Amino acid sequence: MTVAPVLRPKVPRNLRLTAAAALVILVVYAGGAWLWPWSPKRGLGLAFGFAAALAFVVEMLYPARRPRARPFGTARAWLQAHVYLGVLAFLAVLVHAGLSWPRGAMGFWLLALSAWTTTSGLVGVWLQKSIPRAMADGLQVEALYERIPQLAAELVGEADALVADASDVLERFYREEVRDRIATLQPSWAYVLDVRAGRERALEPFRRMVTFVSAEEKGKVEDLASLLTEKLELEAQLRLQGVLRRWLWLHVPPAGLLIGLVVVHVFAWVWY
Amino acid sequence: MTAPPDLAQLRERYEQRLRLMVPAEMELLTGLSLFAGIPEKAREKVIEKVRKYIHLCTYSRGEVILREGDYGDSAYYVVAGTVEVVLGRPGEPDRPPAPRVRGGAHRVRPTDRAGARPGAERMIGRGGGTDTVVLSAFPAEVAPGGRALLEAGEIFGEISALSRYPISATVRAASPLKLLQIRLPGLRMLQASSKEFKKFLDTRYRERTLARHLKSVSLFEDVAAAVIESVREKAELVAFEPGQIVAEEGKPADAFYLVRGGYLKVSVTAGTADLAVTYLRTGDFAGEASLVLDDEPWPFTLQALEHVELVKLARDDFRKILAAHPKVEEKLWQSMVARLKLRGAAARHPVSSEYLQMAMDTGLIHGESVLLIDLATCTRCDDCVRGCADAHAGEPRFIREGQRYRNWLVPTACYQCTDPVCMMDCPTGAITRAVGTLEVQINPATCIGCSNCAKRCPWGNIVMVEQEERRPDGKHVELASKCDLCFGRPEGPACVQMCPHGSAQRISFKDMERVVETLR
Amino acid sequence: MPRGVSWGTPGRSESYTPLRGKWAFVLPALVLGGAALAGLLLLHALGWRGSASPGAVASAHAAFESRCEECHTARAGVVDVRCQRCHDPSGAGRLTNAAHVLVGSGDARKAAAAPAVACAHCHVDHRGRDRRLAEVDTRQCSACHFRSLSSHPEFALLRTASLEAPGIKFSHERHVKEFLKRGGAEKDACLKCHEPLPRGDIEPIVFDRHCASCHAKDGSLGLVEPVPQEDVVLPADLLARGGYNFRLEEFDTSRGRIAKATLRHKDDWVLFNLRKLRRELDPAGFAAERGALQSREAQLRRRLALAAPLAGLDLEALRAREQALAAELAGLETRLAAQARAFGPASGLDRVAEIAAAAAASADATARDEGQRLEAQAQALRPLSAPAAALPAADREARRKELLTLLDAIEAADPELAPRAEDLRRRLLALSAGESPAELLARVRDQRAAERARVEDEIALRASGVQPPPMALLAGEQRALRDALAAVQDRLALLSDAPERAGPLGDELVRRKRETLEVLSAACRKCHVPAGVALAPLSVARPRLVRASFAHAPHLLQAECARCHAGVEQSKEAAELSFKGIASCRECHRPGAARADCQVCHRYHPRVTP
Repeated sequence: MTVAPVLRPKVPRNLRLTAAAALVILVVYAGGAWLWPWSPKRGLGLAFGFAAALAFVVEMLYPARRPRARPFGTARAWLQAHVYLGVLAFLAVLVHAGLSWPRGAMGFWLLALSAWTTTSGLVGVWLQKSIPRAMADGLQVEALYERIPQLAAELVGEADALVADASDVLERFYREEVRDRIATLQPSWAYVLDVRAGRERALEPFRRMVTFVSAEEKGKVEDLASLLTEKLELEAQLRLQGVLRRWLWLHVPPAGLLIGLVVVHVFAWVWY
Repeated sequence: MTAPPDLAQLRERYEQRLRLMVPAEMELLTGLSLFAGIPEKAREKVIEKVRKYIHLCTYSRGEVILREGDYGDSAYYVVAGTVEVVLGRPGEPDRPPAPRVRGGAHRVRPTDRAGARPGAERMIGRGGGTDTVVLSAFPAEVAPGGRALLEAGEIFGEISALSRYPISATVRAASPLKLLQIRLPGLRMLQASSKEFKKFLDTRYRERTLARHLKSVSLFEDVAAAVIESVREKAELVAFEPGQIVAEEGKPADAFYLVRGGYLKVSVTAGTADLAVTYLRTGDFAGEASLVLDDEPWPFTLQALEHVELVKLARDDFRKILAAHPKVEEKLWQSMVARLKLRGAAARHPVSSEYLQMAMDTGLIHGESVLLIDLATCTRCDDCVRGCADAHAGEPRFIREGQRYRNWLVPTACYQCTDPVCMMDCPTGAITRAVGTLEVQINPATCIGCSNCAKRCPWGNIVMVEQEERRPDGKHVELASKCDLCFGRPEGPACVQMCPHGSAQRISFKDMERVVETLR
Repeated sequence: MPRGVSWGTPGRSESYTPLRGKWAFVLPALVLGGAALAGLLLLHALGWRGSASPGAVASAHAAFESRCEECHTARAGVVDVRCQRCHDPSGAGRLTNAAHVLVGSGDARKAAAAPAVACAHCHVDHRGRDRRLAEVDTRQCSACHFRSLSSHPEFALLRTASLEAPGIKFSHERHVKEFLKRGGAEKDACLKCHEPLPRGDIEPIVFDRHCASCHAKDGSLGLVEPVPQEDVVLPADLLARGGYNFRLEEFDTSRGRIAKATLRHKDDWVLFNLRKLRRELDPAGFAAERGALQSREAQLRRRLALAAPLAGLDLEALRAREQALAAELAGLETRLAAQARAFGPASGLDRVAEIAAAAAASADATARDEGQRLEAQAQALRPLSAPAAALPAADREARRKELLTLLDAIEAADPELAPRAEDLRRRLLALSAGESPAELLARVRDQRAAERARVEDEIALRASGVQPPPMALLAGEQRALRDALAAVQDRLALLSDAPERAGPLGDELVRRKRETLEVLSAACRKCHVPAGVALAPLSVARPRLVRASFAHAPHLLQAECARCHAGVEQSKEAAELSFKGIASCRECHRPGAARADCQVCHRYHPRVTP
């Protein structure tokens, strides 16, 4: 079975280990549930609850991969551990609840938040695999997110300079059809689906224009086309890098909320 | 960082350097035997041209002229007085504790980084070094702990200058001394304009150094002294300009070349394109096949990439020597097989050859540790830059911008070149590379922000960073800042360690295996 | 030179770009988490318990759902004392695992050693309003017992050879043949006597309903042959006592003998005289039975007395009770400690052996001789010092009867000692086979300690403002106790009524009385089985299954009697069960077919405190 390049795991050994661990968890659950009535606050159910809570705490340590002094291992190992442990933690939560939807309000929100955090995490994994590949395959330009507006402005300046001493035809063409397109950054969501969205259409006028101008100016038209292409690529970079950045808002704050609820949950178990 | 510099000492050396700015007097020069080889008619003109590169220096007794490990950019001619060449044993007071090499090349075999965590080397990506040791530049055999004296009329330091190698011993004035310092551009001029001068230098090389150089080549390691002697006598010293073809593929191979200095490109013709296979540096050799096999054509093209100096050994001469010493023949066979394998590897991975070509064209080949970012897996999270900033008190040392090759981005992180040109014009010696290490470091205490290094770096990897302090004229003080391979960090470079996806890699384009493995 | 699109970054920044902060996401996440934590804690302090509750409680508990502390203790969860506040108000411990083991095995020692199973272990609440708490997942049973019906052992009735004698002579074969001869249909044969009730089990066999139609024509079983008048109580005298109803006309007196013309089943006069004769002929046995009943009566009365629930006591009374228990516990502890220090014969002999060894090793010749002699003696005595094995059941019964008779005598001798005698009778019941004194004391101490824990917990609860539980649940317990007590007392009254003999009997008298006894019970003995001078108790009248309950009704809907009771038409003895055993149950009760979990037949909690 061929796996799409996006889904191929970076370290297949980790995937296999995780699959094995998941299988073990399910087998243990099946055995335990057949032998005794399953309860989240006793025996195996409780053990899985502990494991899940512990796993969440370890997951929360992921930002600790960056301290100044002595980071523990490479950030890549941390991320692998974070992703796979997250999946196992969610499985432990499900098993802890006995593979049935919990009844109380607290249980409901805990499971819902766990599901959301894990799903958003996996969505993030997929995004982090597919978007860079799309950018690398489809784009030539590479720019820092914060610099893109400035780079785009420079492009406009360059275009203006190019056209400054051009013929009227070209100048009018530039003023009417091209300048707006070059001057404004419009990072459309279509770039998420296709990194080269809208390019053909945007470059169409230039193909026409090439036939109209004189031989000396052909070069200028092509240069303008390149400038526009570069600007379109910067737009795509802006949108796609923005997605990669903003996705974290969907993952980290709910995870923090989850940790708060887990603390309350543990206290309730201890106290009652 | 090494210990803070002794500012008094620095000032002294600085002043000494200032003295160098004064060219020598004509009368002094014309009388020297040094220029005897130049024909009468041309002598004055040549000397006039060269004069600005020649300085008369005086030293009092005991003053140090050259330190072991310093690089040489000049030849020294003793006008009057005695010079003492000392090679201290490790730990002795004569031997300076970790001298900083100002500019120029480093010792080719890099040692392991002290205190590094296991596995950290993988993240650094240093190139494979050759086994060649430092060329000696002195007339006498100086054993560790020993010393030798040089009298008036002797010349020393020219090898180091021409090959850009560090001085291998400390040179001191044994008596009040007058020296003529001829800097490298002057040397080259003299070499070009005067065959006699060139011959003079070559003879000295042959007498003093060639034997040692040959001995240090692994090929001739175990060979008896008598063989070396005979080789030495028969060898020819040749030089090539940048771009010249030394050997052409297909032509009959009839000579063995040993590289004295400079870079050469080794390429094969594959179809209509030129596939770069590898390149040769000081200490490498080519043409061993010709020595062993009859009627072998050159399997590759050798082209000089810059000024190169080669030792050429004709086949017939070598055959005679080989007949007497079969062990050498065996060794030659082994190295030939290795070379063919490498060539095969290049043919199997044409992409790697393309990368090598690219590296040569763009100069990445010079780097011992080039940071590459795989754009197909990089999520542009900037954790690499953040890690760099954390490891350097909040200021990152590179920008995640640069040229792109296929899916790889080469950000502006110092490549730690084998021969760093950035070190050449530093007025204070702030940018250095310690002997035996890989990283080129800038000492912020002594950097004055002249931005010579930043201007010199062909890839703009040195950035001038504004500091809080202000100069007397109101502008902010600027200091040069560049990647230093996180030299004090046991885990290795932070950029590689902090990438959550393993997209950041540091490799050297000299390590073909690693290149193929990483960039495929 | 065409410009082209840049590969990589167009242009280059001159300075390092400032980066977004490292902790840009972590801080909001922590803030959110902290806010959630603080918010929920605040709500908890204000009384909302949703953050801790895993679901709605069963509707039976819904009234105090928001008062978690009524059931939950801090850090220990739901403890048994809280459940027992309402569900075992008399503190009899009926709902404990110990009671379960005691009823199941009859062995008090085993019961004491049984592990304590918390109520909350099996009865899990917070599963929603509609779940019944009594519904327990029967996999819990497999912790001590087996997992499924397939591993269920054969019925005890069929397994053990020593069945209690049925006490009646009855041949199914004869009766079925009679029935068929009289024209009954075969399919009605069983149902003629074993009438199924509409929604329950099969009606118990009652003589008047089922047997009288053939055996007591005109209401009479026959007649009683004349017996000497001195041996019996005259009907007139009996009527004078009151409470009996028979007619004097039924009797025939002549020549110092009295006969009865019509004999009813359970004839009052005959039974009274049988009891009287029994008492005269077998005073020991009679006294034993009476003593046993008195013990049980004492036990039940004590239970009833103690069934003043903690709920009804106010704080003062609770504290008093606690102090009383504390004192009792202290006393028990001292006694236990004394027991521990007491020398058993075995340890004494050990000491002697030590001395002997020391003496034998010394230099002195006389000392050595002494030592050897001592050692020999010790060896001889050792077999005798082994702890006595438990008495076999028959011996135990005999001893018990002895003691009860003794207590009777004591009570008769000195009426003021009556309460003490009653107390001792009660304690006799508590004795168990093979239990050492220390073990018994420990058992009692544990009981008292548990009670004290209850009282302390109740005090703590009242102090924190929790209301006492309602008294209503106690009523059921008390009624069960009272019913049991009433039954015992009725029987006791009957026995006590029987007049005692005047003095020792001579052999001649004994022989005559025995004859009378036989004559009187002649009709009875057609069906009833004699046991000594009495009639054996009817075990068939009591439910055969002790540890399980079986309802015939749902089975009768689906099968014929012969499906399980095959071969009963050939049965000649009442003792024969004509039942295949558990294999016949498994035909239908198996996975995929009829329910096969434990609760189908068994109850965990006994109905009445044992």
